[in-house]
Amino acid sequence: MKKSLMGILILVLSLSLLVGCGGDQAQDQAEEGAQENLALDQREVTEEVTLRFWEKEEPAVRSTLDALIEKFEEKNPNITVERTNMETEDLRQNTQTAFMGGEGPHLTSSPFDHIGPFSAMGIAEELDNLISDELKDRFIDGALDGLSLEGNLYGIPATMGNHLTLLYNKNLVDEAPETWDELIEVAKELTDGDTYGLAYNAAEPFWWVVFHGGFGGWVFDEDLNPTLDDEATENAMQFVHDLRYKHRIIPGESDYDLMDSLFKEGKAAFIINGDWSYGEYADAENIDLGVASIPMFNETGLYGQPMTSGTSYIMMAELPEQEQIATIKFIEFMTSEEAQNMFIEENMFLPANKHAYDHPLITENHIMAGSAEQLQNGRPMPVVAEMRAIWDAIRPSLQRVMSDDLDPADAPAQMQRRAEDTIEDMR
Amino acid sequence: MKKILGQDENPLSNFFKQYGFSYAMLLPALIVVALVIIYPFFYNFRLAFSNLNMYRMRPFIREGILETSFQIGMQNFVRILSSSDFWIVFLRTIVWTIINVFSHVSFGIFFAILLNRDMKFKGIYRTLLMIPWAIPQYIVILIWRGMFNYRYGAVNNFLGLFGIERISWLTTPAGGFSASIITNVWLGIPFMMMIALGGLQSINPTFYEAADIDGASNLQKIKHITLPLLKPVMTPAIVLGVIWTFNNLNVIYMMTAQTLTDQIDILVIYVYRAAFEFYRYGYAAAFSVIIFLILLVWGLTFMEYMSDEEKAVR
Repeated sequence: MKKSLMGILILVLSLSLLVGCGGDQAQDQAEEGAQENLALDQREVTEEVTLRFWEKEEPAVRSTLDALIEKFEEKNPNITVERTNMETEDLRQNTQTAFMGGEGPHLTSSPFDHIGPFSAMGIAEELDNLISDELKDRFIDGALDGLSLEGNLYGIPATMGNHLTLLYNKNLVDEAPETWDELIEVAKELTDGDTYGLAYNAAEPFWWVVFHGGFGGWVFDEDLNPTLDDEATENAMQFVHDLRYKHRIIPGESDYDLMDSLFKEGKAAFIINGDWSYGEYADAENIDLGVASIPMFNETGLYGQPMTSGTSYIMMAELPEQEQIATIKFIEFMTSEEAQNMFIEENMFLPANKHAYDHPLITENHIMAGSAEQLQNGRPMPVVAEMRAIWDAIRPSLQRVMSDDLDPADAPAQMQRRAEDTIEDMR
Repeated sequence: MKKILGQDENPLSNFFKQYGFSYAMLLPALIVVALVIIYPFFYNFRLAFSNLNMYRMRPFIREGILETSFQIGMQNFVRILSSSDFWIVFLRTIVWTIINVFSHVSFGIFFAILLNRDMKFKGIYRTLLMIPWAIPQYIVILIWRGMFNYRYGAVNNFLGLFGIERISWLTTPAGGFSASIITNVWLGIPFMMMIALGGLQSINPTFYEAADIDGASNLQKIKHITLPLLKPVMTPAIVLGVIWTFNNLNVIYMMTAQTLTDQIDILVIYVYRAAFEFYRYGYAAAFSVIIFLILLVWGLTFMEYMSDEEKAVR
């Protein structure tokens, strides 16, 4: 009895192993397409194509997407777009897994940093030779560079942003200061009891790099080696430590939730938060919202430098030609001025298409204007997967500096060592 | 009768004649189990002997090429076991598991004994005690995280009533670890309580009557009747509880991954981050093999010990 049971088990096991090794096809067709002279966005789809489009957007953005998809389908009766929503991390993992099974999306709407793993794993198609120069020309300066790795373009930007800015409550302060010295001075006057001059997510590296950049630092050298053990790091660490312990203008345990609540209660004059938060604050009862660039550091003459990112369309590798054409046509439509204007009007996104920057909402609305201005002072976040090692290397040291448990001068070497170790493990 | 008939036939075909239908009915479930549990389980061993990571993913995804060798596997294992991180995290995992399971079992049995008595509003108490089990885990964790907030959290406000100073629950390693344990203890009590309650109800009341006649106190009854008779029921529950707690990713990860990166990880979080944040699939697979072996050895030893003790009692 035991023997026959084992027999069945082994049979089932070996069967399932066989199933796992299924084949892959549709490679050759893609290669023929590259030989045609016209770029894909200038060619026509001749067959019925259904595009699987996976995205990670908030509900408000999804309805914009649906409206745009409807318009696109009207213009291109051959193409149907199936939109699927998932959470950002799921989008990355599912795309990866589904690609191996051959059932993945045709394109994703991803944060820029999905480019790193997708390109390294060969999931994302190289786009340089597939799209026309006209299409490439429509984007704001540097946007495509931010989506390239080792000289290859892997994504087309849809919207820009996800960057930190200085927000202020006009009920408490009239205008945004130009330099940090001014800000600290104003903030000192306002800090009283449980009202604070400044609040921000103090122990989170994404906020800290604003200061690091302002002191002239950057996280990688050209060969993607971490560069955290330098003077800029030490100065930035000392600066954030001083904000809390010398100038005493930020609350203890200043984190995202605290910053958010204090600002909404009208108990924080300045906060540092990203473009995703404007909508909520603009509607808040106690806030008369102002958006400005993060001030200049008197020591270096540099402005605070947030890392910028955005949402980009990534086309999967090895699609058949007709599906590639349909995908690129869809991307072309979504980055056209018409579509980009809708993202501005419906969602207050900063567009990737440079022609859309003349939109009255951007030129006249002070919130969007402030956000657009800050974008200029930002620097694209590296899209490589190693960026994670940098975040994780900064966080523990920053945390300890902010709870006065570590001398800011000792932080840089610690952070550098941790980043180097993690990156070496990844390779 | 059947057995006698079967003796002169082939035993296998005889077996199928007798049980064939049952196996046919079981087959669909067996196939699913094979596909989603057995196959991945063995595949994990294969991965553990590879050096698959982000940069070696391309040939794997495109052509299914996976470079495996005994040497690479050994390198993985040596690398894990020789790093000081591993032993620290391992020790922390053991502390985490012991505190949690001990609290689950003792609170579980305590509440079960209370609920097993005659008292008013038993239904209400039982419902209240079951609630942690009925809410999706991640929601519970997020609520607790909110309650541990330094400035606005209910926990610090409550402590403030007694003049206790605010505690930085989520930004110091000790605070984060305690907060995670409190949350997980709260989450784990209902399961142990239900198992214990089931066990209590199956204890023959005549034992207690006999004890009453002998003049035993309540405490003596619990010690000499209740606990020994609960043991056979609680043993498998404890084994399960240890495995679940040992491999509990949710609580610590969701409470503190964003604030205490790397500082209070237990083994399973370490593996999760290696695989899904740093794309070190081969290494992570080897790591999970080690976790599996730890739990396997522990489970077998524990069961052996318990059954030995049982025999000794008899």
